[in-house]
Amino acid sequence: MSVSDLVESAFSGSSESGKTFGIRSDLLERFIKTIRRDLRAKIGFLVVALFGLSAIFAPMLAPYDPMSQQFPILMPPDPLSANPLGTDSFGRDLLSRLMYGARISLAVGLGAVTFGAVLGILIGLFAGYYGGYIDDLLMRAVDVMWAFPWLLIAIMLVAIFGQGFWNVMVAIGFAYIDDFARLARGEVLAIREEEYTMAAKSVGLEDYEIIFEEVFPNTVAPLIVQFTIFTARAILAESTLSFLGLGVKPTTPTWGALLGQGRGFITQAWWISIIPGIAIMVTVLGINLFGDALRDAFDVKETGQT
Amino acid sequence: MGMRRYIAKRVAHALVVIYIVATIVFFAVRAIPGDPARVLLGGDASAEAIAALREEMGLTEPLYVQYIRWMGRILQGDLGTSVFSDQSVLQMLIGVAEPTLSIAGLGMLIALLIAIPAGITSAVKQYQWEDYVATTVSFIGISMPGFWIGIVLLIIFADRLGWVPAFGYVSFRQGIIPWLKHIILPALAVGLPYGGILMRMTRSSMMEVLNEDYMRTARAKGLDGRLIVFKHGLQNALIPIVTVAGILLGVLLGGVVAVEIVFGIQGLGRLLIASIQRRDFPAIQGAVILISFVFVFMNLLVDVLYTSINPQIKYGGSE
Amino acid sequence: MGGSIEAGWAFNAVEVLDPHYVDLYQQITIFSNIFSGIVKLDRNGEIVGDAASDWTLPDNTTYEFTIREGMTFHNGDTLDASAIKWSIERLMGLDDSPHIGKVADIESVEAPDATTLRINLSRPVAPFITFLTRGPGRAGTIVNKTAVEEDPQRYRRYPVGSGPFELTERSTGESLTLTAFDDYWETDSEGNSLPYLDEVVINLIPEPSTMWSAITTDGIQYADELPPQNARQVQGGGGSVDVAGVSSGEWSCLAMLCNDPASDEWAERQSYASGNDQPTDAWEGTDIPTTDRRVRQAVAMAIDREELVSTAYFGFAEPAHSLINPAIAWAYQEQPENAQMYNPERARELLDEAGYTGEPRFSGSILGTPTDERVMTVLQQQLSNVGIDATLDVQQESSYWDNIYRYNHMFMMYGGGGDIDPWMSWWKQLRTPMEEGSSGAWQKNLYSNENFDEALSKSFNTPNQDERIEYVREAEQIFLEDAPFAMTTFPLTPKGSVTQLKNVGNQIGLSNFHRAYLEE
Repeated sequence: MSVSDLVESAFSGSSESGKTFGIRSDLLERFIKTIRRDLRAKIGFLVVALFGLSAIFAPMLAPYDPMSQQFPILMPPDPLSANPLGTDSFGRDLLSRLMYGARISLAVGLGAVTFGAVLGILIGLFAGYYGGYIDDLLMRAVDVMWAFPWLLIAIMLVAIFGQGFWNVMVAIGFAYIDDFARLARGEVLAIREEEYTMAAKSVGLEDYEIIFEEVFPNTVAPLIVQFTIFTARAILAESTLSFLGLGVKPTTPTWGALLGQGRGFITQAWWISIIPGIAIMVTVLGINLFGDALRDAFDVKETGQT
Repeated sequence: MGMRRYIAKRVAHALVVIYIVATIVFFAVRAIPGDPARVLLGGDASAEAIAALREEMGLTEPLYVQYIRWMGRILQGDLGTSVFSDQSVLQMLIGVAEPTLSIAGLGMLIALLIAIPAGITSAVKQYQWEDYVATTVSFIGISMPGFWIGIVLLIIFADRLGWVPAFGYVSFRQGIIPWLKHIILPALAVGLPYGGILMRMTRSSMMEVLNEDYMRTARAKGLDGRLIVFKHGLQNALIPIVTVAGILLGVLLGGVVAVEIVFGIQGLGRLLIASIQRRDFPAIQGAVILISFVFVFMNLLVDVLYTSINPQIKYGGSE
Repeated sequence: MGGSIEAGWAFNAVEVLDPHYVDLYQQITIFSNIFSGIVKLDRNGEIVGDAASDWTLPDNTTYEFTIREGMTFHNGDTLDASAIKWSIERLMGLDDSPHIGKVADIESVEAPDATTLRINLSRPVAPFITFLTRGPGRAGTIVNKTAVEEDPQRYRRYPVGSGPFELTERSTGESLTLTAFDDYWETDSEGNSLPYLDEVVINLIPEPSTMWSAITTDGIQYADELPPQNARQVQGGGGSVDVAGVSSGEWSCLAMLCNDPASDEWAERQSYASGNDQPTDAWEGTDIPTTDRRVRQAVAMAIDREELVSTAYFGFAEPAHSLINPAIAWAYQEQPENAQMYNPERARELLDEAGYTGEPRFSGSILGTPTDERVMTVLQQQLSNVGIDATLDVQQESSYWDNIYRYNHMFMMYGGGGDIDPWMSWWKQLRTPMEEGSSGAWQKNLYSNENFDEALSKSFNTPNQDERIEYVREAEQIFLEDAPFAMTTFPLTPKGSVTQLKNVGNQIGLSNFHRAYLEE
């Protein structure tokens, strides 16, 4: 089975949405075609799948317990030794820590964007659909959010609510609410006046039904693209926060935390900070490639939100 | 609406946003668990001493009283005094702003110098090797955390090759060359990811412009290709580029914080993080307000620039 | 001789240098170059005269000092017995000074003539003489009347002392310039005037990596504190930097909750330490294993201190087997009787006896700050080796201090510094909290033992060192038996100097340039 077949089968379960008034029925088809045809998409998908799987199956794949301090400290990488990627300053196996770290880093990344997307899309949908003072109010709030650089929001939220998996996820995701809200609102404004929305209104559907059954499905394409690209950003954000010591519990291995722990050893043990960075780079690159291919496939304009 | 009125409206809007930001920050810092009096006096200070200091710092008053007082002082341009160092917050901010601005400024310059030529080349030579190289490099650029680029550069150029100092900052007042040597690596670290995004932006907006009818017409008329690209193409492509450059300022500022830590530079980002850890309320407030201020007004500037280079946009309708 | 050096201090901003207000060690290390004390600590950590050439104790509550002649302050004022009297009396009147407790038992100070200073105490206070040292003691550090009275606020930042160097320039957050004081009284054995160096510029370099890079590139010639992971690289010599790991009287331990704060016995008593009338109900209906002495002993035995030193401190610490740290030279023993030693088998047996046999035996959280993180990470692993599941709660300094007096953690990273008398740690940290006075005022873990309290009181009231040591040993044995703290290490501060710079005084963690010189 080829990669694209895999993808196809993975997505075929959810394609039963043709019954709504005006949804673009070619959405899924395009998606699969993209992965089949586009080299970038293939590479991206492969990379993400590889890292995703090694994260999920880390307990089975990792050679050692990531917390166990059983080796000499600061051993350089040696592919033929017990620690192919070397050990950290506590004598823990870096390869195992990297694999476990992937779990948290990827989960926080995905979770953060999901959080931002759900809230942002809700805000955007309502603002766009209702317009008027609801729109004004919601978008002003979004404006204020936007006036904070993301890191500032994240740092403040973590400082207030403390470090922890869910807190960090929310802290990072918070910064994406405004982007999703703007995007969703823009899309809604564009389709609010379209035929199928009018048609839905004329048959007497409730507002929320129209929003969720008619309007929302039609904003999906650009939102998926945005989601993908933001996931890449969120993984970078997690690494930055953890590097600053403000990530998930300081002792949990995440890619950013591994990097941060290497900071004091830059000049004597480069591998502690370099190797997790490569893992981050490859993963994010994979997601970006995938997102880029999707963007082309869905014909979404690049807005510089990478 | 005239340009002047438009600008006035936007400035007013920006000020309101900053006011709200300041208010949120005021209450947010007080929601951070931990007591500045305790930090200042050390862990084993007596309960009475802490209570006395809290009183002196005005922390025992009701929140709204503290808030009104604080607003009053802010309006007079007084950001207060740092709890930790007895120094005025404004003075502290001025002290740390120089390294941060140096890094951010040079970083932005590097980004623009790389991104715009590369983006244009990439668009003009679409699907040729130049395009592939530029696109790939930019993709890699946006996929790395800036601070990690900093670590890699530090290991190679400072630790191994010894071309530049690894850590610390030297003011330009002590000589331009030492200054540049200290900030070149941090600037590259913040500039490269930023440049990657800008390059992609330049490429796509340039491509769009190149496909416009008037460009095709111009080319069909036999005008010199290069001239067209630069005169018409760039001019039009610049509009979205400028916008994005503004929007991404947040990304750049965020990057500087972590990069300062890698290179051990006492900048705005380090001040902010240290102040949060010490629960130095006045310093946190000052730093956040300053950052938001720069952020909001840079974007405002971009917006105004945007409307003035693009006369088709109506002043009121750009939101 | 002569010359000037650049030094680095790992500090953000050295604000206060008025010794009567100073509370941070990095400030002590600076001001002890600027001031004289009544007495001081010599290179071996022994107390010797400074402004006083000699002293006697006519009785247990009287100290009589002979003051040197011919000493002057940096501003030209004469330093004699009455100047010292004024300095002590100033501290006695400073309600907001953290050191006022040290002079609380002074009844009167007399200066019958220029060379005689007499201090009368209301009761015997054995550690009193250590309070009068110019470095960590602070109470006996001599401040200048004219300068203080002129502008006390300014004096905090621009102190005038009588030490080997005077502060001539400072720039906030950047540097302080110490210039040799020409009229300093002391000379070396050959009659050359001290100090040798003309100038020491203290640069504030809070970033450890920057400090390291500065000293290796000769940007600075001296570092008050180097990052241990870098310092370990140069140990053994050969390079251009010499590193000395010195004890500043610092000790570190894992404190264990000995009683339930909400219990009948402690509900009120805990408030004498925490100032919080409402004890936490965090332990309601739960068992606190560490209230069992056997469990605490087991924890103390589960700690492999050698491994802790090498992994968490990169060698810059001494294993701690009891509470008396090496800076208290007269009482320190590396391994006293019944010392806390690594013995995991015995630890498991004790835990079995105490009834904790499950898997894990029990769980508890360790509270600490980001600076403790390395140690906590190693401890977590060591505790898990005997079946104790410890979770780490790393809190920023500010919330750490809020939390520690809530008594809602089973384990706490704790320690102290500048302890040059056993009384310093024990009285406030381990004695039963009392409504009045400072007994138990810093209790982190609700420990109480009457016999311990008694031995401590006796040791406090017995100035004669030979008699006093008996009580100190008695208290120490009770401490080891009850194990309220599982001792971990006596951390050492890595101090770095370029090889040309010799003879910096590093006793008890100080950085005295008094006799330092640059080799040609």
